[in-house]
Amino acid sequence: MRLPVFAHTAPRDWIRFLVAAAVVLALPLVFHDPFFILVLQSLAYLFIVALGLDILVGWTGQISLGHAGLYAIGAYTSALLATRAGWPFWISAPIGVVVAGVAGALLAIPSLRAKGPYLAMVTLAFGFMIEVTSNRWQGLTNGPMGISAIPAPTLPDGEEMSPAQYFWLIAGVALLCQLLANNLLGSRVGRTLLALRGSEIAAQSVGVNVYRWKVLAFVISSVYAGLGGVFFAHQNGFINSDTFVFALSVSFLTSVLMGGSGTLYGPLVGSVILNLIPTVFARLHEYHLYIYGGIILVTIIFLPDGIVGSLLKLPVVRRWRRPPARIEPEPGGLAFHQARDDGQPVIEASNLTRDFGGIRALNRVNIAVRPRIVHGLIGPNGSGKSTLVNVLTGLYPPSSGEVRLQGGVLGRVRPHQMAKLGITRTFQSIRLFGELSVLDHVMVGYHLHLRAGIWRHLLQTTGAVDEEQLFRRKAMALLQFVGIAERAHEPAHNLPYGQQRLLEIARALALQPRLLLLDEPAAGVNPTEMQRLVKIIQDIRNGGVTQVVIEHHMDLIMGISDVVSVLDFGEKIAEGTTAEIQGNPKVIEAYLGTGLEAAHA
Amino acid sequence: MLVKLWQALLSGLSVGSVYALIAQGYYVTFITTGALNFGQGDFLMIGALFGVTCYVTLGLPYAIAIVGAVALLSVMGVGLERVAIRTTLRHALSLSWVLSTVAVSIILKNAAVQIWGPEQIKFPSPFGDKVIHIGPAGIFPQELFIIFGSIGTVLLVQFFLKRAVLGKALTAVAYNRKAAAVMGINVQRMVVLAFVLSSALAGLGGVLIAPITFAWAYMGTVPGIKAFAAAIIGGLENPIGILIGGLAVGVLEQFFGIINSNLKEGITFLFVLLILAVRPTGLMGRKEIEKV
Repeated sequence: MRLPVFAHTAPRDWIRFLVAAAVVLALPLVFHDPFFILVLQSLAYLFIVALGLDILVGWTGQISLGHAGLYAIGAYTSALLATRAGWPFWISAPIGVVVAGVAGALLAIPSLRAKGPYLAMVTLAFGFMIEVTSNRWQGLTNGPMGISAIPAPTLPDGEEMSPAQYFWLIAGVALLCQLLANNLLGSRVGRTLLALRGSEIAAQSVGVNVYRWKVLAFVISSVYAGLGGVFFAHQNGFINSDTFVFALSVSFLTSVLMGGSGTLYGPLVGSVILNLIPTVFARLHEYHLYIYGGIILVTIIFLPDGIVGSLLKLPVVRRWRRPPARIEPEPGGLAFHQARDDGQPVIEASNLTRDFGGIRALNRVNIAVRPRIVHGLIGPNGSGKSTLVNVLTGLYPPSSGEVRLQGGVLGRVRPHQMAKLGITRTFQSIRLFGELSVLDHVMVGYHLHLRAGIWRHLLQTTGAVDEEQLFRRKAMALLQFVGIAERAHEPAHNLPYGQQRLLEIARALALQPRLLLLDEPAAGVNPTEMQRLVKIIQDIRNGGVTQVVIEHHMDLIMGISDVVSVLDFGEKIAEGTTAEIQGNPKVIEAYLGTGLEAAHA
Repeated sequence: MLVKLWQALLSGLSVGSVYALIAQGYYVTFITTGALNFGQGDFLMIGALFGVTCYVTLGLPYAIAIVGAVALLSVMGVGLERVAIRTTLRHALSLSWVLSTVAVSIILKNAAVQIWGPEQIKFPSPFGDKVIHIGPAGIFPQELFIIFGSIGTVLLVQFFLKRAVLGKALTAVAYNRKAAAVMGINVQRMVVLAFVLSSALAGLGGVLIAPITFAWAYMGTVPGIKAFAAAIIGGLENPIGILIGGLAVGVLEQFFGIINSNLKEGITFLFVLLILAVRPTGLMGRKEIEKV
């Protein structure tokens, strides 16, 4: 039987969650101690924050040193609405969560292009700004004096919830949060985020709008943080500015790393352990910073993959995990874009110039690529071949000149928009998506063809699940076409170099491009793989796709090209059939120098 | 109003030059390792409190206090590199050194409370409290000393990196690790040197600033973070940018302090967010073009 939602959740996963729910239900019944129930409540909402933070840290590889700020925004919003406006928890709480989500979207803006320490600064500055605001804007937050008499949530009969009931509410929501996170991260969404983490440029080349997806990750993460903050505010009925400090952000991050970032259950394990420690060591208050600092150091130095991450790497556990199911290739799943052959060029550049500082990499290049052919592009090192590809795929804007696509002039088009227009590429220095499997690389390639978006994947509707399965079969067909289907489930970085290049071609073909640019596809490829590559390029052409191939292997270029253009010092010095190029004195000079020079050298 | 602005400019320069001094430490380690000490502020705190022990408790000359703090912090720099930097290189998260250096700083805070107690300790200025008038505004001699001492040290560090053989070796590592190793430079030792230099600068900053702020265990966090903001605004790889960034942050805060003392605390962070939204590598940082 299949549910219309959560269609992907297997029976054993349901059993697992039922057990978890039973434990949650039983805990306050077994342990009556009010202090213990309070601790349980805290564990539950701190876990929600850690889970959300891991979506940012573990999946997109971003860091946040300001999650206490988002937590504060959720807490203050709900607390203020409840105390000043007198709104019930059931209205103030969702608003608190939404406001935190909006703040996350704003925080995403300066985070989009910042990297490394600069990115750390963005979140840090945000956290400190909220910290200072909560401390100093006394009219709003009452600073260190705080907001008191924040009401607990009420039951339908108007009674306030008991501590045990409130725990059930928080823990129930926490369970749901974990379920939804599992859905999201195990689906297209997690895959796309991991792809971004692996290589933004490669993700863009198949149509992923990097900025949009990063904003999405920030918003989800902030919603979780806001939710945790709301539950915190209504727990004791009192909040003040002393809570929302940098140290809290550090503790969120520590719990994620301790449990293992990028592992679904790492945040649960990490936040429970880390937040129980102060309770256990309560008597050693004088030394609590030693203990805390020591724990962070031990976590980072001795558990680089976190507790769950380290367990998953144990050979015992790895053997115990079931191997992925075999996927049969979809019959006829290999589809190429069908270009009309009306004699019009697929892409045409005129007077294309690109400068880097004082260096002119391309100088007034004119090039027109006719449909359904292989257009070779050669030239000595540094002649501007890769720059031409980068400009044609939107990675660099041209300094001057224009690019026309099917007759229309292109403005400033970014790489993911180029992909939408049917133009994609492979990379001279291979760009794979980190840990993603071979099959998942191709699945990311289908980005623009997949219809089910975040909401349907969040709920794992039957539609989303069926679509995934269909495209998995199609992906197998594509992998079969390039000849690496038997390695579909391995991490792509395990493939030998030549097969990685073939995988890049498969990923690009998943887009069903009208124009495919291959940047040195034969570099580092052995002779057997070379023959396969030639066959693949020919098959793609016969399928109707136009290709531009940059290569240094003259045998390959002369064997497969219908037209060859030659670049030297950023200028096009020749163009014609392979025979014409081979006899062209300018080309020979560019590669070998003139006889006279050679004699005098 | 003009008098107030002039006064704010002077005070701003004095605070800002300390930011610039600390931030110079971020620069040195960032160019060599891509990492920096997030606990730099607490290193400054240790410097200040050690200065208290030397100058106030033991009655040693101020100069000895300075030398002592710099020496102590240099040794701590070696330890920091060993414990929190070298160990984090194989971590899954590329910014794990942020947490490990924060952990060290947390431990230092606890140690400081145990050794020096949690109270604010007064550090009388060796130059007295007689205000010097420059134009319509006044400035303490200690503040003047801070400005000249900090900026002088920053210039000295730059001179060391550009002219001294050891400094050039460090710069070479920053430029290209592998090539430097091939040329016979001990890269590991240069990395340690970078952290020694960075920590020593923090220690100096502590002894310089203590007479105008009080010395205590929790004095370090805010200057450490603001110096980081200054370095980011200027551009982590640009020493001149960092110097200007440090001074600018100091002055900016004082200017906004005239309008509202609450604004003063938050303005730097707002400023850094706005700048990074427009220029992701700071105002004077290198614009990165990823090679494809």
